[in-house]
Amino acid sequence: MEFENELNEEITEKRFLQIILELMISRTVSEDNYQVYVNKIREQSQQLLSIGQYKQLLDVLKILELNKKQDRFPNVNSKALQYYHSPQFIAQVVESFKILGKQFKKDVWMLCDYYDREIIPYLLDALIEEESQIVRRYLLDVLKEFGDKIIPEAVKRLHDDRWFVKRNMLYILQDRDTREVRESIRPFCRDENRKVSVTALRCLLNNKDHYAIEIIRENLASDSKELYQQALTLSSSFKLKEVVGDLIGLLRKQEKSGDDILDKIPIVKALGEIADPRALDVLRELLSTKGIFNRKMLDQLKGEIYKTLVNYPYELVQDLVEAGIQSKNEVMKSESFHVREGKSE
Amino acid sequence: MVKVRGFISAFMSAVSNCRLYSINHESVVGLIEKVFFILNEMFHISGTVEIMIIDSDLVVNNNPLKDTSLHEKNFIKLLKRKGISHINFIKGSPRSELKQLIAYLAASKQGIKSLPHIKVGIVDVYLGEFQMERGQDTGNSLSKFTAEQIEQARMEYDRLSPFKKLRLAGFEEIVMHFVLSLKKEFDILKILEPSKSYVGYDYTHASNVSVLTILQAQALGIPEDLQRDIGLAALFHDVGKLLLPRDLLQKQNTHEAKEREIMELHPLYGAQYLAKIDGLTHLAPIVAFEHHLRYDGRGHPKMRVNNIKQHLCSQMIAIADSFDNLRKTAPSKKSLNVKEILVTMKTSDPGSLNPFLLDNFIRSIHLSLSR
Repeated sequence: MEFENELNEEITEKRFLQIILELMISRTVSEDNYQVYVNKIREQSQQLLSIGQYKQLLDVLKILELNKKQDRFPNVNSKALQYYHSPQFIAQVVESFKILGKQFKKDVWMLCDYYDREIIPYLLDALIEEESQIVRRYLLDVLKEFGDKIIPEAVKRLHDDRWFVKRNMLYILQDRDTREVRESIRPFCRDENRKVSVTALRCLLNNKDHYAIEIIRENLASDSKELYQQALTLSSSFKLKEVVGDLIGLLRKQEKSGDDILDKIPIVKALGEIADPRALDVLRELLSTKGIFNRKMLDQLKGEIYKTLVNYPYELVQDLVEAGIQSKNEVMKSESFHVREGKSE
Repeated sequence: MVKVRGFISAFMSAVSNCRLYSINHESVVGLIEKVFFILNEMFHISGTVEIMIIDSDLVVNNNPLKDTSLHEKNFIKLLKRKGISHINFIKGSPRSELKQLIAYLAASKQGIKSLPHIKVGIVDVYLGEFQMERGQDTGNSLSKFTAEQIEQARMEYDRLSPFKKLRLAGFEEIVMHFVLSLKKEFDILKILEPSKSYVGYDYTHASNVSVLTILQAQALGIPEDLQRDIGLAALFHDVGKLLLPRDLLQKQNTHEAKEREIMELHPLYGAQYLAKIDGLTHLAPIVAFEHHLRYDGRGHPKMRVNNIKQHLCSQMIAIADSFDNLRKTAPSKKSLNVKEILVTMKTSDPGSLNPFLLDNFIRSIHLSLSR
């Protein structure tokens, strides 16, 4: 029944609070009554948090601030505001966000805007402790809304001992491109935890940071297979033209075995993603290589090269495409048709 | 006890959110999960979790819960309203049963059955402190009965003072008589006291408005416990007038502008007074504040924080207030009969009253008169 909804306890309590707020700003209220109302809304505040009525809570805070500004009942207002700004209360606000915040995004942000920097440490704590990935993602979204205000607290927590805390802070900082942020993140590019180091590199590469690019170049030359592969992946994902020379160098390295030929495939793929025409010379060299013992592997490599041609300017690879159409290598042939068709479209 | 408090808090949040949204709403699903999690933690300590209500106290696994929070108070209130004396959660209670229980408690209907892992103990529903056998005859004629009640109301009102504690039980008893009496087939006009207004605080008007509002609530099928709250709120709607200068209330002539301004403060005074009273339904200060607002949003007092529309209960009381005011025989006016009053209400000031509720009121009056 429609009336039941309008008469339900939650609607009545919400209206009661609205009336209390009206009474609190009326000129006729005495200090004793004002104190009683403040106590009532303090009790109601828990209820507001449990049903996600953040806008109402904000109204309460605004009335208290307004009366404080107007120097009405200063003692009562100060004490009340002290409660609403206490660590216990703000932690409860954040706890409520975790459960209900997603349904009331706009109101959550209005309340965060009121608390401003004060609520950031609590949100970060919640993010760190939270087990649910959905809630973590939501908290990250809320935190990102703070923009550059988040920087000092997130940078401070980069030095937490726990790797996942570092990584979460890096996620938060990745959109904040300031000198301070870049300099704070750089040391973590060499963090012993790979999850941290790769996240740090990603953060910096988002902003084409030269330090991160140097690390990538260094890692491309590393003996550590893990670091090398990580660098190759990042070069490809971020289309780093700065490392094209390094990748060309790697392709030119004399292969000692069939496996070395296959190891060149990821490099070819990375260069294909970057699609820098400087790579075409070395690719041509590889395509003209003839081998007796490793023919099958060479064919495979050549096929992979042809798969990347579509990314290069057609006029620069036209000769390769036409040659590929005549080729007996089925992959080269079909890829060449594919590139030519793409061109005509 | 920390876990118990956490459980009740999450449980009541789930009920509240279910009432506001729906049982399948994301927030409710999340809260049920939380309730389920805490309950299972509680099962590590004991194989069952038994929650009992003894008088107005919560007892969990034989341990009384002291210093109850708002959630806990609301939990007690909710169980009492549903006539539940105890709930026994047995180890293995699945989410689906918790969901069923929460959905039931959020709905206004009565009649829960025990579930395989959640046993519910039911007692007869008490309507406030006042109890009356359902089939019991009031014995006397209604007009005599209400005269007694009006006298009781007068005595209770005489005790009313901003400086004294309100004796809520007396008023609750009056309203309960109204609720139960109106369930019988009575001519509504016999229940209403003849108006002798314009002298002091009008307790007869307050009682009449209460009766007329309960009549509407019953016609709308609103549950009895809520009828009591609505009736009580109606009884206090004009209580702010007690805080106005007496000579202003007793003035026979039209009020001057300055005097009108003071008169218009009575909703604010009434709400200020009632909002402080512990144990009183929150509908009372709401109605006291809003009863001179209009359905179209105009009227007084002006809202400064939020521009809100009149609460449904205030809308019903505004109708009853208007009807009883039109019944008053002011010295300068010719008295109107019921039909004329209803026509006036329907036509004279469009936008002042909720048209749907007004139709319901007119229907109820006609029905009552035709009995």
